[in-house]
Parts: sequence; structure tokens; C-alpha cells
Amino acid sequence: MKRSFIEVKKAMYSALEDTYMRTGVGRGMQNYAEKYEGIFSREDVQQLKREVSELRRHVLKNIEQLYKQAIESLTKNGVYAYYAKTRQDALSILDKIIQPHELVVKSKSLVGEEIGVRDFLRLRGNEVWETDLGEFIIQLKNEKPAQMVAPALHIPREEVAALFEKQFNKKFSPDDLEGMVATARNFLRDKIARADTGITGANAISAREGTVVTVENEGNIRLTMTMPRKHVVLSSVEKVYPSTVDCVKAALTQSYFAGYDKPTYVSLTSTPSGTGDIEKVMVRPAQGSKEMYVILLDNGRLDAASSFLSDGLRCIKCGACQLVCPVFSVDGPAWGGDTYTAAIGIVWTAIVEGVDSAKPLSYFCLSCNACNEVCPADIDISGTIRLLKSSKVK
Amino acid sequence: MPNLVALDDVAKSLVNNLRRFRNPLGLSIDKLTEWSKGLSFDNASDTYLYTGGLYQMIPYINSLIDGMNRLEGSIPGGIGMVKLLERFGFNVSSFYSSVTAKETARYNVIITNLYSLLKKEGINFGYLGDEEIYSGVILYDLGLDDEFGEIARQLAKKLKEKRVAKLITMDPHSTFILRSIYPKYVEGFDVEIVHYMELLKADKHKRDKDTSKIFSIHDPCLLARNLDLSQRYRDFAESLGLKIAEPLMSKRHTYCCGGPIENIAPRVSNSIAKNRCTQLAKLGSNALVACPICLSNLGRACKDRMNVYDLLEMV
Repeated sequence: MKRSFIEVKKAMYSALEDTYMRTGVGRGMQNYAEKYEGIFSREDVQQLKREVSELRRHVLKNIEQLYKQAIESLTKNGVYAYYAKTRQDALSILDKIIQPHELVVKSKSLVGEEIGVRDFLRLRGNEVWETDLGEFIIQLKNEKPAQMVAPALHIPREEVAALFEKQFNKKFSPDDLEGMVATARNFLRDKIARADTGITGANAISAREGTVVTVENEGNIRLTMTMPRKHVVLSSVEKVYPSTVDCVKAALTQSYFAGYDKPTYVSLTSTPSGTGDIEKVMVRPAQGSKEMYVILLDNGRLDAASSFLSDGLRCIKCGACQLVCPVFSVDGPAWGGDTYTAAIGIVWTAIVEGVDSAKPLSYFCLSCNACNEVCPADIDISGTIRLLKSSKVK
Repeated sequence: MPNLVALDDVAKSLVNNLRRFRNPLGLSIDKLTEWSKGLSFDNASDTYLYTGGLYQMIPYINSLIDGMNRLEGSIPGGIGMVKLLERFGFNVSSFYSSVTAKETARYNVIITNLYSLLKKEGINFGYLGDEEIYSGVILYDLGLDDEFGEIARQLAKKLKEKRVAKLITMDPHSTFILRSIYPKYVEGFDVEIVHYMELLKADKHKRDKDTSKIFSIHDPCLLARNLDLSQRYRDFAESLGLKIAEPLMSKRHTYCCGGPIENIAPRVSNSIAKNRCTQLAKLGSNALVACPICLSNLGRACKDRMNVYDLLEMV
């Protein structure tokens, strides 16, 4: 959505008065600040950072060739793989894969937010549930994600309790985090068990092997991709790496820089589920999905690869830059576009919504370089935001 | 919400002032050179002290931001201001109503203190005086690249005229822009840029430790992340006898004072500064900075909770 500088300023001024948002973001950032230096300073994490920032440069240079190779490899694996140039193209592909009566469960996916998949499916009659707890809370509040890894960062426990009370017709104490999480778990497990389609994102996809890599702590991605008959992966062209090993490195790095000292689950998925246990004859599915689909969204990325925004495409979406950004700390998601917020999110907004949408946002950057300091891909984030300011677009 | 100041108004005003007065706030030159009255300089030296004008501008920045806050309804009392702007249009220099001699004196002392430290170490240097030109850093930060380039070339030309080979700088913003950005905008720009913390020897200015006061140390963003001077900053503070304490986000992971967007969105800027004050105030009622932007912004935002001092005030 294109807004003027004054409109953005108004929104940012009113966000300063949003006590719930300020509380949620404040607590989240404080918790992150207390632990991230300990994780970043680890020698293994530093080594990974060096490797992954090199890898990201390589990926950017070879972006077209890599995503095309991934589509070939995925197809060889028996996966239906598509390139979607626009948001509309991606939705049209989904329209054919998913029938209007189906129950759909979905794990967190920023690409999903980018194309508005939840609303699209609901409007055509699908029942859709977010299985990531943060994204589930976002769904209940009908908002955009505040941050890349913790979408409900701006919603403090008090507000979660109120949202849950409305959804489940039952009182929750804000301090009963266990009770709230257990309620969501039971509710979502039931939905997952009955779902026809599971949509997930991907942290990385390998060009050579055609393997999709995901990293998570909740366990919802694994359930979402294996329980329903169909598994749809929504990802984007810049997430393709040369090999599966590269993908695992990227996934681990994303988890570390998001503030976790180790990920709970890393999943590698290459084909629909099958078994050859009876006479070595392949039968699909075994326990997992019967059909697997991968959609690689472009939505401005390939154009950006040859523009002043190209460095932004090296982002692995760990969200570290957002969690140290002083502007984000007071304005939360109000400093952002339709999907992406704060720091590298301003650059992403320029890539997927256009420079004209991101330019009015860019002026609120402090150029303090806190973002650059924590970026695992070594992106000059504030420098790229400054280029937005100086771009000639009106 | 009443009268939010538009970006173009701020930008135009800054650019016009710079073209007319060689500083973005449109101050008369004597306000920027007042500190040097009665001091002697060796203008034949190839080393010059460059103030960049930022410390001298602090009281006027404070007054400007106060005015913008009134105008934007962040604090009461903006009605007269609105009428003034309706008559004369937006100019940042309409806002300097309340700057007192006492305030300007405080910031001038910061520069004379540096002058004394340099002299004490026997360093010979000149000063451009009323020929000093602001670095243009604010234009660069606003993405006004053409206008910035214009200023950069003017300053570079002036330095060439005076055969300056080395500039001693005193704030992180001017240091960074001259050292890292000027060479990209001015062909053949090869003036050596040295921040005073890089030049002075901390142990030559030793004083006994005063343990009665604890200073929460705030790392200015560029000083820590771009100039990598966090350790020198601490060494200096320690040798000056200051007892320092580390806040939650410090050194290369410091949290910005909010100052760089004070003229774009003063209310957002102030909220950021207040957050930083909360972090700093956990350690005591005195904070230490080493940057005019931090001194101005934190000084205003923390005034109910703590005193904010620049390192150069403590010598």
C-alpha cells in the first residue's frame, strides 16, 4: 500500500500510544537483548555466519540459474514445482491445487503473507488455520505479522488471553501461559488431523537435490507437512541454494540469529511420502503427504536482483535486525509495509511492493547501523535504506 | 493531529540555510566561532581542528525540536507557532526563541576543552574560523546526495586552499562522513581524518578516580560501530577518573539515542531517547556520551531522571 510521508508519520505517532504493542515489543526485545550476544559470540556461530554470508552472495549472483535448477530437481523428485511471477500467479496455482471445500492448515510463511493466502482461501470457502502459535494469534487478531520470526511479538500475554477468551469462550489468566498454549495445541492438533492440505514455508531449497529445508521449535511444521494428504510449500526464488548442505547451514544460521541456541527441529523433505517395504515396490503415501507442491514466488525479486536493492535479497529472514532496531522498539509493526516491518523489512517492502511504497518509510531510519551489526548475511541494511531515501522515485 | 511537519519543508529549509549560511540551522557565523575568541591558532600548520559546528548548534537544535514538538502537538503551546508559520512559511530558524547565553557557554566549553587537551600534548594546529563549512552530514542522512556533494566539494576546496593535510575531528558524525563518504563524492580527497580519541594519549590526562559518582556509559552509534572507538572511549573516561557502568546494550551493540531523526519525527525520536534513558538510569543518575547529537537528544529526554555529560565536559 502506497502512503505519503505524512500518512506514515501519523501512523507512527499513533503507534507510540499503543500500550499493548509497546509492552509486547518491549518485553520481546529485552529478552532478545539479554541473550543474543552470548549466541553470536560462539565460534561455531561466527564460522557459520562467514560461510552463509558468502553463500548468500553466491546465491544472489546465480539466482535465476539456481531457482530453475531447483524446479527441475523437484520435478524429478515427483514434486509439482512452479515459478510464480506475481502474487496473482501464485494464488492461481493454489486455486488449482486446493479445492474450495478443503480444510487447510498452514505453518508460518512470510511469502504466504505476501500473497495474502489466508484471506484468499477463506474468501473462496476454505476453512484455514495457522498452526504456528504466533501466527495463530495473528490470525485471531486479523493482523499482519509484527516481526519475521515472532509474528505476534507486539501482542503481550494480556491481549493473548483476551483473544483466546473470545475464540474459546473461556476465561484465561494472562499468566497462565501453559494453559493458553495447551488450548491452542489441542485445538490445532484436531484441525491438523482432519486437514486436506498443509501449507508450509521453506527456509531453504537445494537446487541440486531438490530438497526443502525447514527449521522450527514448535513441531507444527512437521505435523502440517506430514499429516494432510497434500503438502504445499510456499517459498521464493532467492531461497534456493546450490546444495542441501548449504541449506542446512542457512537454516541453522537463521535459528541462531533469531536468538535460539539450538533449533528443536530441522526437517529435510525431498519427495512425497512413500514406502518400498513390500517387495521394493514404491507405494505412496506411507505416513506423510501423498502429493507435494512447491511454489517459488518472484514478486519483484528478480527485478530487484539487478537494482540498488539487490543486497536485500541476501537476507535469510532471521529477524535479528528488527529485534535490535530502536525505531522498531517504539513503533513496532507500524514502521513497515503490508508484510514486512522495520530494518531489512523496509528493503523487503521496496522489493515486493515497490520503491514508491517504501520510500516514505525510509526517512524514519536512524542510520544507526544496529541492524548491520547483527546481520548474519553482512548486508548494509541502513545503507540500502539510505539509497531508498535518495532514489528519484516520487 | 495538528500540523505534522512535512519532509520537504525540513529538507528545503536545511538546504537553503546551508547555501546561505554554510550551516543547516541558518546560524550567524559568530555563533559558531564564538568559542575561539582570544585563542591562538597556527594556521600555517597542515593540521587543522574541525569542529563541524555540531556542538555549537546544540542549544539551537534543542530550541528547534521544542518548537517542532509544539507545532506537532506533542507538547502544548503550538498555536502561536502555527500562526507564525502561516505568515512566513517553514524555516527551521524560526524556532530559536529561547536560547540563553548560559546554554551556549556550556557547549562552547566542550570545544575549548578539546583545544586545551590538544595544546597540552603539544599538538600544533590551525582553525578555519569563519571559513569553516559544515560537513553536510545531515543532507547525506536525508538522501540528498546532489546537495551533499555540493557541500562536500566546497569544504574540500577550502581545505585544499589552506593546504590542510590532516583534520582533527571531535564528533563521530563529521569524522565518519569526512573519512568514509567524502572520498566517494570528492575526487582525490585525501585529507587524513583523525578523531581526537585516536590522537590524544589517554594516560597523559590522568586524574584521580572520583568514586562518588557512577556514569552509565552510552556508546554513540557511529563511534562504536563505524569508528570502532568504544575501547578508547572507555580508556579515556577511566583515565579522567570517571567510574563507569555498562548498560544493557553497549559497545558495538549500543542502542541509538534517537537523535538522527529528531528533525523528521521528533516524537518518535524522543520515545527512542526515553527508552535509552530507562536503560541508562538503571545504573545511576549520570550518563556519559561522546557525541553532540547524543548530548542534545538524551539531554532533553533524560532531564527528569539524569544528568547527561559529554566526555569533553569532564576534562
